[in-house]
Formats: sequence, C-alpha cells, structure tokens
Amino acid sequence: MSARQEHGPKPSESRVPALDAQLDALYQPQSFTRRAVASMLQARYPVAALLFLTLIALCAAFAPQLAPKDPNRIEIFDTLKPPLTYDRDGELEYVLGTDSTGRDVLSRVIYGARISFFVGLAAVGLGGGIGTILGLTAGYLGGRTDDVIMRLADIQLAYPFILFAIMILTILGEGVLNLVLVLGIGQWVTYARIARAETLVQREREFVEAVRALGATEWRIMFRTILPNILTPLIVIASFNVAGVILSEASLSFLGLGVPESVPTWGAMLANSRNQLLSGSWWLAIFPGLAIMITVVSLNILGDWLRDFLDPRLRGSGQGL
Amino acid sequence: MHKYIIRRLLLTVVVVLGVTLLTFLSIHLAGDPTLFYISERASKEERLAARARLGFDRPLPEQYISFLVNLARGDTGNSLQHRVPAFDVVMERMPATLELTFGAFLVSTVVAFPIGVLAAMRRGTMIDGTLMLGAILGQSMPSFWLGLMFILFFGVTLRWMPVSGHVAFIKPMLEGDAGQALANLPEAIRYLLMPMVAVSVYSISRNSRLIRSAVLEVLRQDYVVTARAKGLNERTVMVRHAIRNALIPIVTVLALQFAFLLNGVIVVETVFSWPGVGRLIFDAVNQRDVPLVMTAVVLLSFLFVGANLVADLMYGFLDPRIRLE
Repeated sequence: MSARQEHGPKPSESRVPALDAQLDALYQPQSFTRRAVASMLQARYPVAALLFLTLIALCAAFAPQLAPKDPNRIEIFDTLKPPLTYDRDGELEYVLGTDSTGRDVLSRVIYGARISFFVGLAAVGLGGGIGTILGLTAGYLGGRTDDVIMRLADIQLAYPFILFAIMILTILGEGVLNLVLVLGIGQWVTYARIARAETLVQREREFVEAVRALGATEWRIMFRTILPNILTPLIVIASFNVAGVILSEASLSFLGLGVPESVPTWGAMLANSRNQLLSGSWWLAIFPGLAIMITVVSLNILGDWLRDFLDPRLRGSGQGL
Repeated sequence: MHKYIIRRLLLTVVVVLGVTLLTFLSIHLAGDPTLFYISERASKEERLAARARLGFDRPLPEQYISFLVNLARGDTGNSLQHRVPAFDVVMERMPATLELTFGAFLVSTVVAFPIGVLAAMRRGTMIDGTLMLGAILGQSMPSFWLGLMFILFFGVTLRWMPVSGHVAFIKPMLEGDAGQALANLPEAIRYLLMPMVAVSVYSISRNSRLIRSAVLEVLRQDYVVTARAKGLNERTVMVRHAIRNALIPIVTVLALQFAFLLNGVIVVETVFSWPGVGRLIFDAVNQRDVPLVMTAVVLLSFLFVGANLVADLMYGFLDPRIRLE
C-alpha cells in the first residue's frame, strides 16, 4: 500500500476486477534485482550462461582442490593417454587424457580457467579505466586536449593489435602482468570513444549546469556528476569485452607470447596440441578449445542480455560484438 | 570533396608517423639491437665497431629521422637478418597474407549478407533464432582453434584437405604472369580454403548480426511503410528501399573489419604454416631486425588506414546526403 502511494495516486478505479489486478501489477514497483532476475528467466539462455560461468569461476577459484592431479606433473610412462584411461586397479585415472609429456589434461584445463578469468577481468578493468578517464576528459575539456587524445586513439587504431602485442611482449618478456598491460592498452580506445561521445551529450544537460552554478569544481563535475550518467553503455561494452579479451589472451598464449610455460593456459595447451594432431591425439586440441568456447559464449550471451536489460538503445549500434 | 580527401591523406601520414615512432621507440627501449648481431664473446671494440657499422651508434632522433628520410626516398635499408632490402623481404611474404586477408574478407561479406538479411526478414521466427545463436557461437570460437579443428577433421581424419602449405596466386599476378596465376588458381584455392574459413567465421558471425540490426533499423522507417503501402512487392521493398539504405552503416563496419581480419590472419598463419608476414614479423622482432620490423609495420598500417579511408569515401558515395568536408 505504502509502495503504491510513493508512486502517485492509484490509476483509474475501473469496475473490472481483472483489469484492476493487471493495473496493480503494472504499478507494483520492483527492485532492480527482481526485474533483472525476471528478465533473465524470461530470456532463458542467460540463465544457462550464468550457470556455466559460475562453474568455470569456481574451477578458477578452487583449482588446487578440484584438479585431480598436479597440472605440471610429468609422467613419462603415461604420455598421450586418451581420455577415460583407467589405471591398473580399474580406477578412472585420466578423464580427459594426458599430453605428450604425460601431464593430466583435465587438471590443466581446470587451472587454465585461472589465467583466462584473471587476465580477462584485469585487462578490461585497466583498459576500461584508462579509456573512460581519457574519453571523459577529452569530451569535457574539448579543444587541444580532445585533439591530442583522439589522435592517440587514431594511432592506436591504425596499429594492428597483434603487432603491438608482439612488439611489447617480446620486449617486456612473458608474464601475467605484462599480458594484462598489453591487453588493457589494446582496449582503451573503445571506452574512450564511447565515454567521449556520451560526455559531449551529458555536459550540455541542465543538471550539469545546475551543479556548476552551485560552484562545483570541474573535477567534481566530471567524476561525480557526469561519470555516473555515462556508465551504462560502458558497462555493457565491458561485459562483451571480457569475452573478446579472453579470446585475445588465448591467441597470444597460442603464439607463445603470454605466460611462462609452467603456467597452464588454454591457448598454450592448444599450441602444444598442434604437433600431436597429425598423430591423432584429438583430445589435446578439443578440450581446451571447448573450455574457451563455453566461457566466451556464456559471456557473450550474458552481455547480450545485459545490453537489452540496461540499455536497449545500444542494440545494433555495432558496439560490443 | 577533394579537400576532404587531401585532409584525410594528411591525417593518414600523421597516424603512420605515430605508429612508426611508437615501434621505433619500443624496439630500441628493449636494449641494444647490436647484441643480436655479434658473438657473445665479442670484445668491447668489436661491439662498438659493429654498432657503428649497423648505424646504432647515432643518437636515436637522428636514426629515426634518417629512417624517415630514406623511407620517403623509397629506401627501407637492408634487413639485418636477410641482408637484402627490407622492403623486398616483406613484399616476398605480403602476397600470401593478402590472399588470406582478402579471401577472408570476401567470404565474410558474401556469406554474412544473406544470413543477416534473412534473419531480419524472418525476425522472431525459428530461422532468426537459429541463425543468431549460430552467430553467437561463431563469435565465441578462437580462429586458431577452428583451424586446428579443420586440420583434425578434414585433414587428418577425412584426408580431404592439405593440412599446411600454400600455392601462390597474387605473386605470379604481380610478376605479370597471369597465365601462371590462373593455372595455380584451383590449387591455390584448395590450400586457401581451410585457413580462410577459419579466419572468417568470427567475421561472418559478427557481420551477420550487424547486417541484421541495420536492416531491422531501416525496416522501421516510414519510407519502407510507404513503399509497402503503395503496393510494391516485398522483393522490391527489400532490395530497393531497405537493403540499399542499410548498406551505409554496414559498409563502415565491413571496412573496419579489415583490421580485425589481419589480427586473425597473423595467428592463423601459424596454424597452417602459411608463408605470410605474420611469422616474419614475429621473427624480426625477436631478432631485433630494426629495418625489417619498421618496414613491415609501415606497410601494414598503410593497409589498415587505407581500408578505413575507403570506408569513409564509400560512405559519401552511398549516401549523397553525407557531405564529406
């Protein structure tokens, strides 16, 4: 009752109880979470995607507890065992087989989730942060600052990402943080462009004028007034971007540019599988690839749903996917 | 219009300059390239002599400027590893990369178009749902993994396709030997097929989703309603009114796609041992072959920026309302 009062007077009291009930339902204010859950259940796919992602995230978090074996343990007598290999006591020993040095594929796939998740989230955080700040600054200050930042963006766009990554990673050497750095820098332009465009719109709005009239500093206007109002499209882009970064991370690891050999990653597992393909060791190529695909599909489906839920306007703008 | 093109070309030069400067600085920041071209036990004198011989003893700004001046004269310097002009080394490999990139570009456009239009016309039906689910899946597979799967399935299991190798098509063409190029064509396509499809699946998926939304956007417009109301058949409405107007956003995205494709191409080249520039650049960076890296980066970024320029010009051509200034 009180909830309804908050939302103004009750709509027309019709004489049709069924219609009244419907109108009541329409006027029932719903919490953000409840609307999100309802919309997700209605769309169905995002629920499955969320389940898969939770599963993979759990793998990443509890890899040491979940993995049946040490992912780096070399068993020279158990090389290239196919999936579902039993040991002498009739126990299932290698569920997904072993690689050319006898390392357990299942354990490596489970550990691989760690790098993919960490790098995906960290690089998007870094790139999104840098891009948003630069885009906001360019859009708000305009003039020379805008020119410099946007020319930098042009240069970055003209630099084929893979070349950039090869250059920087060869020079910095391998390592998780270097990978995050390169992938993060690779993403900033997207965020900068969107943040700039949105800022150009927002800075002309009346509430910005009002805050300025109240004597707020430029700094405060940018980060406390405008930023919260441009976040939605950026969050939507970020959700797709994690998927894209995970794919890029896999490519770089595949090229041998990512992390040291001792850290299991899906991309590096695929790189090692290449030499075993001709001898028919299919499991080495299939399982890490499936892991990547399930993760990325789930993120893409969730991103699609998030976009429709938060900001349907972005549909078809070519952003994100 | 001419003014616009000239300004864009100038901007291109600025951008390519930025790219070269960035490359130049990062390769020199990585330490003295001379060390890669002398023995580990070389004395200090030998090292200094080698550095002077390779030109690395000069101040960095001077090295950079002299690179630019020589580049303007068409001289890229000799590759340190191959001891022939860096330009020749890159051009030796470039045709194979271009075959793969253009092939993938063509496939991803030609295949995505009917998918996107069909999905838009059958919006909300099973056909639409299936196509778009397929598109999400296609966007979620790493191209190199698809390549590996193709090798496993069509190469190793079925033995239909060669698992690696390359037959040249563009190269004999460039050398003026069209007869040879045509004779090579069937084999060239056979070798091209798997890497090309592996590279393009991502783009096909992405493009078909974009084409679908561009067409849907247009179908909502008043002039489409008018066209239907005046009794035009559905085909004419789609072809003359809807698709033509949907082309504008599509073309832009397609040209930007080029950049994406090139990234994929460089990775997939490794899977299929394709003799393109991907591996070449990789080795050149590893060996700090400064002239070769710089040349490759310059050529590739021109290709990149060129594709974007073409997109912008097409924009004005497709939609006369857009005046490029």
